[in-house]
Amino acid sequence: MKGGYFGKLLEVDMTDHTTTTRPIDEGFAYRYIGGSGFGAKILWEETGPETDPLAPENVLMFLGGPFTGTLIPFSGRHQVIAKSPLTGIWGESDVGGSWGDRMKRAGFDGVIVKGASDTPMWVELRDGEVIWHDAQDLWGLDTYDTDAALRPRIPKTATVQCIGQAGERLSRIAGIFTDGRDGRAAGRCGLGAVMGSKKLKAIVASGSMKQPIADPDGLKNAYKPLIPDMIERWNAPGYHDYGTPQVVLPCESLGDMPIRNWRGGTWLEGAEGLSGKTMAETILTGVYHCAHCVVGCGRQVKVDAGPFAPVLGAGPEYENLGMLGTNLMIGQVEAVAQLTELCNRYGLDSISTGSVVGWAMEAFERGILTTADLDGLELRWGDAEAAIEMVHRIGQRRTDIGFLLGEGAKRAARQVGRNSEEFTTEVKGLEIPAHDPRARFGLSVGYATGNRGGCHLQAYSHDYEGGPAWPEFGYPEPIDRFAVDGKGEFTARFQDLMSMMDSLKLCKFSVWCGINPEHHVEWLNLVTGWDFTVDSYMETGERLYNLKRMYNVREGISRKDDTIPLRIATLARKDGGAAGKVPPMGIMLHEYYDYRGWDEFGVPTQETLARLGLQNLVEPIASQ
Amino acid sequence: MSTTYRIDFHIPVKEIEPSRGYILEVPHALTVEQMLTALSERFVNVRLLMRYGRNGKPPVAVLVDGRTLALADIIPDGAIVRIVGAVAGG
Repeated sequence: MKGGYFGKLLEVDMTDHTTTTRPIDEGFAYRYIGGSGFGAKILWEETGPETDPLAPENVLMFLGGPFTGTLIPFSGRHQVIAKSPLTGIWGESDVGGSWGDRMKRAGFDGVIVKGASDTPMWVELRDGEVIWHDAQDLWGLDTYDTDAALRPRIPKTATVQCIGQAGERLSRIAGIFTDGRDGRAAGRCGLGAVMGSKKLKAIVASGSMKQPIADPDGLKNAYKPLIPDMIERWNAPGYHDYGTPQVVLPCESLGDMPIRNWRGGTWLEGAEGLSGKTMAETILTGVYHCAHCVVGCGRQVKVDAGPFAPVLGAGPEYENLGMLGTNLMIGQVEAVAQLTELCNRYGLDSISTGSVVGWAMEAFERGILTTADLDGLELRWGDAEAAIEMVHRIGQRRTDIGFLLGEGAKRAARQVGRNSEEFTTEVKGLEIPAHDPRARFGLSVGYATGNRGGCHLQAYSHDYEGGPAWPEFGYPEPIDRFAVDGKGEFTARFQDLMSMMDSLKLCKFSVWCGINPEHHVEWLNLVTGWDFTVDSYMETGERLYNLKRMYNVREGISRKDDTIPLRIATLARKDGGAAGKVPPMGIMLHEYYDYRGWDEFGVPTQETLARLGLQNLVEPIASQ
Repeated sequence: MSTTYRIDFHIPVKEIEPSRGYILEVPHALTVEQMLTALSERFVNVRLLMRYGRNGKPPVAVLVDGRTLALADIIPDGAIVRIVGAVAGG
């Protein structure tokens, strides 16, 4: 291979504490690209319906792409993949920070963790070497303290990726965290529990190796002149100063933010308290950049006085402000900062955590959960102290209710019963993030058909609904957010594109900085020496998306599961920017299946699989 | 009779301290589009944002009383107008 890969994945066997390398040939790399694509192929081969996600048979993968480890802007990312213990299907999470870059510098394209250790371990990757360490002294520490405890034992340039107590104790909403107090998270799908089940506390990477690049000068000449424009496009609207919290006010205005467990249509006072400008004027101390990022969306905050102190490090992003803020009717930015830090420390997915606490608050309001059920806690809307206590319990898996909520909303509601399933907000078990399909109808198709469940990042199309046009991707005019026609195709095309970005490992925010598929293709060819066109690039994205769908089909997923939460599908809100709206899912889903070449049950047809070169997947499914 | 707006910038504006806001006085009520044009004549960054606009719409949301206005909407006299940079959803 001319570039983009070292040509080897590291296989780590936790059972007997051994490692081997798995070579990657060029055909495999060309077909599956990296990151999400590599993971799709490997998970298909290594796991199946018989695999318990928390058993040693599951595989946990940390995979870079051909851009990871290069100096391409927005490339400091890697993909974490396993069969999800939260959903029981395809599980993946895209994470920034610096760990992916350091893994490449250590000389590996990815790490596949198998088996399970009897005792806690941490593993160090350093310049092609693998060093095993006992982690019994780290077990029980949160993610920030784990990073701090490891610092004296590892090179200064090393990055720690680890789990907190939630992952150790197998919470199905636990994530995997990197970069210490900067709190970068592979939050979704409960992958922290998979790491915990393998007794892998941390995996540390460092090194000085450089992956080959086919045309390094050409690559540099291709991206470097664009950097000033990228920065200007990011800074001018205020994203440097205010970060993703910048969109709190616009999203609230559109009826896009979750309010009172997705019942409210507007809460301007809360949004004002949580806006990017409010944060900048109160608790913001700095800006965080992932490796090779030229813009820096991350917030660094400090709260050193008052009821929500102390907080130091990663600050709330938009999703935290939505799920742990307006969703719970908490409008104080310091409180959401504290909740965010707790999620980061315990190693909890803040989206799922906000969702289950919101569900529990509504259950308490309705009398379905009582003070006795909550072990003395009165979990009322807007009560930040109560929410904080509940997050402590979830993170520590303490008390019956804390343990139950750590199982995720779907399992919690099933156990509690009394129709409480009607106000969970999950798809295929994954709690939906802080964007409302009633405000942008295409989101409903994206949530329903996201391979990992309810997720806005699998398509990342919502901002173009009622937002800017994207002529370079075939949308010369802004898309009406309440339009129905065309949303199936619109969603599918974005899913294919995002499947590629999750495989290259390129941050999705790059699209807001003037980076288009033409750039992806140009850079990919310069890194690898290949000859992709935009058409073949998009077809590869389609292949990968269908491969992941087929993984889920093999797990029993079909149209019956391609839904949106009942609350979203049936409750038209009375006020706000999307008052009276509910998305007509059936029409859009039908169009989506048609465009995809899937049958009426949501299964890719044989013709579609053959067109994409995936016909070999048919027989294993048919034989079951 | 003139029309007065209080502008609350949620974008970087080098000419003023954003937290202090800006009073815009004009002869008559403006549409959103007219206001953005007027502000782009006064502020470099608004001019820059207009350049990055697609279909004449810069990457900002213009909000009054928490509601996002369309380009053709007329902004009422005396309104507190929030200019919020908005492209990505986070």
